[in-house]
Amino acid sequence: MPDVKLLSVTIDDVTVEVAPGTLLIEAAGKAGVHIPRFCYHPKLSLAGACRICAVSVEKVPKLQTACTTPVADGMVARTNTPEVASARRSVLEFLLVNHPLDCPVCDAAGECPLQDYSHLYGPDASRSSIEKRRAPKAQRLSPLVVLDMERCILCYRCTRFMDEIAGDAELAFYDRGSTSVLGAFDGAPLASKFQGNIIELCPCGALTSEPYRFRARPQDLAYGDSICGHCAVGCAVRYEARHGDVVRVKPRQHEDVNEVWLCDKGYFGFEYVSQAPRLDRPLVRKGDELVPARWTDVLDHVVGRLREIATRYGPESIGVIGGARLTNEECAVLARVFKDGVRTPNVDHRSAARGSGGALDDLAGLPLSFSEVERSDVIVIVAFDPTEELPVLWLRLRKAIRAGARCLVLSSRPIEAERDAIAVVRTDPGGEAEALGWLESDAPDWLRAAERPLYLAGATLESRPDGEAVARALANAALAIHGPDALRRVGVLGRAPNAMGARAAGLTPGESGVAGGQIIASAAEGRLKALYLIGVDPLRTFPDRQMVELALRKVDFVVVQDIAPSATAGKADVVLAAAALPEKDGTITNVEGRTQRLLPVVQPPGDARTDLAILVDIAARLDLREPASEFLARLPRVPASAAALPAAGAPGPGTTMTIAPSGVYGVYAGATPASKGVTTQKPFFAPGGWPLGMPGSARVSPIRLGASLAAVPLSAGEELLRTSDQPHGTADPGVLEPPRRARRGPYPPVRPAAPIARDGGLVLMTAPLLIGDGAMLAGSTRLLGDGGARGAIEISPTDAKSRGIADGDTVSVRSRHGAVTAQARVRSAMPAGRAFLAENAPGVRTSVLLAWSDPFPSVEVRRA
Amino acid sequence: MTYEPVLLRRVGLERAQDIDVYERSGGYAALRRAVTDLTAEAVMAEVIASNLRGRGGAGFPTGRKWSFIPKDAPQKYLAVNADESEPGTFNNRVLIDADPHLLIEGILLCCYAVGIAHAYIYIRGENVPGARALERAVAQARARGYVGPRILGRDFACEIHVFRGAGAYICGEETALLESIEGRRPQPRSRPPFPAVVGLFGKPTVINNVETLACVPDIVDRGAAWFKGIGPEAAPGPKLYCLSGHVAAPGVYERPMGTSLRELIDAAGGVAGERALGFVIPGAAASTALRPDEIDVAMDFDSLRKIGTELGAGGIMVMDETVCIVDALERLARFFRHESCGKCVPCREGTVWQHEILKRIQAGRAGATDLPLLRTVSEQIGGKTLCALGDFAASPPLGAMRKFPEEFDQHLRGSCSKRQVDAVA
Repeated sequence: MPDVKLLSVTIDDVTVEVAPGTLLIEAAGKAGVHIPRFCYHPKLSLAGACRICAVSVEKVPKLQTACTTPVADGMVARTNTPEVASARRSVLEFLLVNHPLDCPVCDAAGECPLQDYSHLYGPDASRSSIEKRRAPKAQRLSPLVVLDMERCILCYRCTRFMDEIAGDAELAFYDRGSTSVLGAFDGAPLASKFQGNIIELCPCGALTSEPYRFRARPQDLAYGDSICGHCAVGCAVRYEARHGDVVRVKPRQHEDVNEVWLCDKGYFGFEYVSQAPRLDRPLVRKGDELVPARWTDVLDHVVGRLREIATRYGPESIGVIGGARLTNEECAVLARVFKDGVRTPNVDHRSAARGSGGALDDLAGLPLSFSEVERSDVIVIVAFDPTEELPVLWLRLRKAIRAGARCLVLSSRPIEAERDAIAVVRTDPGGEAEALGWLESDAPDWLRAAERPLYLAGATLESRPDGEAVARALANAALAIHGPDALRRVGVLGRAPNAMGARAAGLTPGESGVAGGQIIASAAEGRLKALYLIGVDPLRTFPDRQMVELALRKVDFVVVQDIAPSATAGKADVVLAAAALPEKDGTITNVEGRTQRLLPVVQPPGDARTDLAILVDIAARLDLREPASEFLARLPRVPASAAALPAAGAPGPGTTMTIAPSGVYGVYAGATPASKGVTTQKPFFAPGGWPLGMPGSARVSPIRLGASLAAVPLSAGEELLRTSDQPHGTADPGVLEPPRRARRGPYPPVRPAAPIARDGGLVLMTAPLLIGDGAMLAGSTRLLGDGGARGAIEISPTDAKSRGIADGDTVSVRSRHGAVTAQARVRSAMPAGRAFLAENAPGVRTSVLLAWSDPFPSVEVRRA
Repeated sequence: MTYEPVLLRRVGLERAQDIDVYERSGGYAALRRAVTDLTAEAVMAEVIASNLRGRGGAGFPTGRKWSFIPKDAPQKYLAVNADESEPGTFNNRVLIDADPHLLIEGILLCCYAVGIAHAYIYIRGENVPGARALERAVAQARARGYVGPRILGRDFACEIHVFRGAGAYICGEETALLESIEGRRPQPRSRPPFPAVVGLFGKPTVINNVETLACVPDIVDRGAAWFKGIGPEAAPGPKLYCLSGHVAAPGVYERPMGTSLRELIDAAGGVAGERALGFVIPGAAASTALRPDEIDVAMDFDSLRKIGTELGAGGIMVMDETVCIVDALERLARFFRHESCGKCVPCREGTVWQHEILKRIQAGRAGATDLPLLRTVSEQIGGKTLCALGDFAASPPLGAMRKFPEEFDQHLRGSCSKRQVDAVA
């Protein structure tokens, strides 16, 4: 690092040294002096609008706004003068002239910077007698965000976020001065995938969350720090619960992962935990019905049947799919149970993978930390839809682009990331490998000159027949353009929250085993006799519904272990009710290889149990009992930083693990409960020093401002107020072990896929979108909307015209495999001859149109 | 002594807007001389030596402003402030309508001196004839080789763009003007960085007023010494004063900077009718009104600042004895309330509050606390905002309460000697 001469600045007699360019408001924070702020936010451009941060600077006649004043060496500033107090008082008096003061019915009350600062710095009474400005209450900016314009203090945080961070310029202030009103562009509902962040940024109650409105008072919420389980980014979140139900999710600050942001799936997609139907007890098939049973009996039955099938047909006749939604600890036990205990090689966490051991495996995961991603100078995106697949990673990519990185997109359909690309290559469906070949032979100079290039492909490659070919072409292009170390900057990014952890735990096919998709195919061919499915719903998601139906009919025994009822569970012989992530203690590993801790905030419903508890009991029945030390040795190395995490009693050396063979819960003798005084109702397995604890250890009483104010000096305001850089606590950094890249030479190319037959129909492309049907969005009706654009099949204007289809028409979509009804969305960016339908389009069973052998089927689209 | 006009010398000539007339009367000679005989540095040195000060109101030395632009910047811009939206200010309009080539030549000289290839004239949206006149003049100048890639065959490229605003007073604030050209909501930027470093499209930018640039051709043509011979040394040159209100002959009057207010009112035919002078607002909406006994003041930046008011852009509003100062203030407050952009809290909320208090005082419904309230509210706006609009809004009531206390007292008692107050609550 180059020598930077630090600047010395004194704030309220505290002298600190800061880097040049530091703003006074930040330097003050370093000096332990809280300067109030509304418009200032460290992640946004400077506005200098609210004026609450005015401070006195020596030798400058007028008060200076601390948020726009860079520190100069020797600067002496004061926040404790009568002038500063008067300026703050007057800003707050001005702000309340038109504010409705409806705090008793405002969601923000109790965690409202406007309220807090009024309390701390405002006048005792208003001198204003003028009539307050009126505006319509509760305007819906979207199904998710509600605007109360009367409460708005015009800090411009929301509009700056949309313009600068999200790149969704769909929110603006209209009119001028005191009659300014916030509104969505053209009055259309917001469509951004990052709307929740504007609620977080709002320093008063102007923007509130529709799903949370009037649901709770902040002081009534219990909360626990966890990691979002919606995708592989692994954003730090806090689940907040009232009366045991999760009612809200908040981002925590994790500068290396999500900074302070969340996507809307993470922010609003919490209903599945407490408000949607859940599996709350184990079920066993009795004829046509699934009926409740006791855990002991069910698990005896499961183990008995598995043993029977393994004995009769060989253990390899049992296929296991799942694990990418489990914790690392659960993955390890799952792998142990089936690979060591049952001894089947047919285990995979990827539900529709076609193969194993090729470039797709070599390149799995992001080999760079997100912070390094931000420093990329060229970003090549291939068959990857970042805003839909890994939205918060997209914010990081966009940050790089805003800092000057060039983005090149190779995609067979229009994607949102193209807005920020300098070049877009529209390939044929399945034509990415070929296009990469052209890129390799004819790379533009700016791509060749890149010092920190980044090549990214998406999770859809896993299930595509040409996925391995695209992965190899991607690697080869990078190697040819940038040299032998280039694979350190190439990644095929999975979507599932713990795909990386599952992979590391060994949830991939063993020797002679087949990959996830082939497990289904083998089952359909009658070569497998049992399926054990964990957290997957192939009937809904697998890209060949007929084949899944056949597979489920053909096998003798199907176990589904999941959090909620699903189509596949309905066909199972045994259904095991599992806990969701906010109910779990453990670690998960995100796409960059960062292992992070999650803590439970609510209890699983009814008799549902964590996957760990279920698997441990199965292990016991398989006679996998052994001393804890040996068992633990096989688990993934526990992060060194674990010791720094909330401390609790860990099993010491030599602790013996005993599993009660017939008991309901796995119990580890010698392990001490996490926090004294907390009743540990369901003892948890504690690998290598992890604290136990459920439910108490995560529940920290929220700080109550009112109660503590009197005793708190003003300078400690930073701790109390939701306005600073870290709105809801900071996250432990976790342990980062980015995936390694050993290979330095090119891959032998794979024969390109046969060109797609054109028979006059449209070539159908499919991919999962961020928001759609699925267990994790069950109950999130506002997020799913009314099925509008997201439940629609996208076609080109040309094809729409020739078929007499208008935007919004109901259409029938027919392939030679099946037919569905969808809404038409005419999209000018869609090339003629192609159509796109989300795999998880709400209310549309897309998978009936697809076949394992025909992933890009030709479809007829007609007005229904 | 009769004053020979400089800036308005072509006003009244037949087809003065036409490039032929402009050239025949010596137009574009300065530009020709500059690009053929003078270096850019020499042109800038001349402007610096002339001590020309910006006519938009702040009075910042123009040459120094130009010299702040980094020489090696690959891209830089000139933004010409022709937004002119303040009540009582209309001198830019006369220049643009009557002699647009004078402005264009000034623009080209500035661009030559600073090394700028693109100039934007930001003209307020309502001034459609002015925008058309400028577009026509730019086209004519281009046809004659004064605008384009090789001006007068030399290695000097300059393009002039006429940009029409959408009609907001705030767009006259230089950084809001830049935001508006960039297609954003016009609101002032926080400084630093100053436009000379990060300006239009993020590049170093000179922002000059129309009248300022109109002075430049004659400075280059006749020399800094000639220019400095006009008016006071600290702020020399010709000045266009806009006289409006109760004068016999309202209009734009060109006089040397520093001409006394009394002389200017006389030039406009004195107070109209048989009435006596009531008060004068010397620098349009933002300045403190002057009493009749203060009109011997020299109308230049420094002399007016000395007595607590401002020259502004030279909009002089003369009110006769029948005008109530509270009525005038209420009208001004309504203007500022309407035009506050809403970015800074004190200005956005304070201007509404000021206006509401003044309405109460005007109607005779005010109580004893209202004057101190108006004072503190105004004080909380002044100096507390990003741009000068806050200061502009703060000073008229503060100044008036100081200078015309008796009229406020009358209103508090429910009467007004200037007019009959209706409805006394």
